[in-house]
Amino acid sequence: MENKGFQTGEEAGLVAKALRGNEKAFRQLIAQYQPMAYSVVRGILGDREDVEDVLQDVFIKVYRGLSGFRGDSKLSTWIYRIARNEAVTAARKRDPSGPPVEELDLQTPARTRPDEQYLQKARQDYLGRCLGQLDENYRVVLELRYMGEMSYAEIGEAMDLPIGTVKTYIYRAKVELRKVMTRRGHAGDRKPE
Amino acid sequence: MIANPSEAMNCNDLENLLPVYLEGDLPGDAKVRVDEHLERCADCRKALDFYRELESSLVERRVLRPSPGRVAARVAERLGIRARRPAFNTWVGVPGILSAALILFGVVMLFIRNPVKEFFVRYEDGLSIRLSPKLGEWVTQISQIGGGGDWVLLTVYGGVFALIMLTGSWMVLKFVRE
Repeated sequence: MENKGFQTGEEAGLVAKALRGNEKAFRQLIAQYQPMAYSVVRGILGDREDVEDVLQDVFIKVYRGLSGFRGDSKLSTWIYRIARNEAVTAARKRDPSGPPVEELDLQTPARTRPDEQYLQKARQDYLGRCLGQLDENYRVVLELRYMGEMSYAEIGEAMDLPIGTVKTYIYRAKVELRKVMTRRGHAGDRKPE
Repeated sequence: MIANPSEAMNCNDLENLLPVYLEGDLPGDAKVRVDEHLERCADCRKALDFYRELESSLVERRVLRPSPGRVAARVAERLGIRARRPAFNTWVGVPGILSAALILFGVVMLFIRNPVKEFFVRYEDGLSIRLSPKLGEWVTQISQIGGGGDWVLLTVYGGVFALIMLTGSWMVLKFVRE
């Protein structure tokens, strides 16, 4: 397999092995791209209970499409597009009368105290609702940056955007988020000087 | 976005600059003016604290991520890719446990050896004859270490057994992987 579209020769080898049915290679591939795919799906769908199902759909499409991947774009860009399309399709299927809101499932370390877990859950629940009021692009870049632990360059590569645009999105997203939280009374109002 | 360099910044100027400032992306002169404003404006310092806390809360969202192992297992199941138990458990774990059990058995023998001592002595003699006199002599010498208890002999047998099993498992594992 050519290395076109792959970040490293190792990645190309991983994909080749996954295509031959090597489960371990496929697991490695999922581990590598899951934070990014999850951030995109979560950024678009928000705190919905079917986020993980959609994430599985993404990797099923990735697996089925791998053999046809020609490397015209980076693998991360290709997976980003699949994740985005799956999430958008799932969002369209959403029942407008009452979207299910996910009961947040925190993957906290076992040693986390119950009261800490409760506060963490409340914080995340609140933040999730505020994020839900931002534009989709702002939500997605924030999730990619913080939930997905991606650098500006990696986000730019996946979203096919210049790094400067990614940074601008992130800065504006934070300012917008502060405005949303201020309206809800949680962002430490200040009086203009 | 950045105010005229000759003028002092006000809160409105800072509105959009604080996230940029926090990221360390402001040019030197703009950063100096933001620093000056922050020194005298408690409200903007409060806003800066908000962005710091926001960053921590956004990082904390990682606790929502499902484990890659769980996602991979479900995807593999849905794709019909046969989920194999990790090879380590099958080929190394099982003989490892058996070997450990054997060694444990040897240690237990230390405490209850009297009723079975004669049996093992006879077995040791028989083994020596069946294999080779030299090996028998060697085994007997080892069995004398630490006062000549049969537990020494059992531990040695257990250790050798473990070594053989683990080496064999490693070779099989390597073969299967390749």
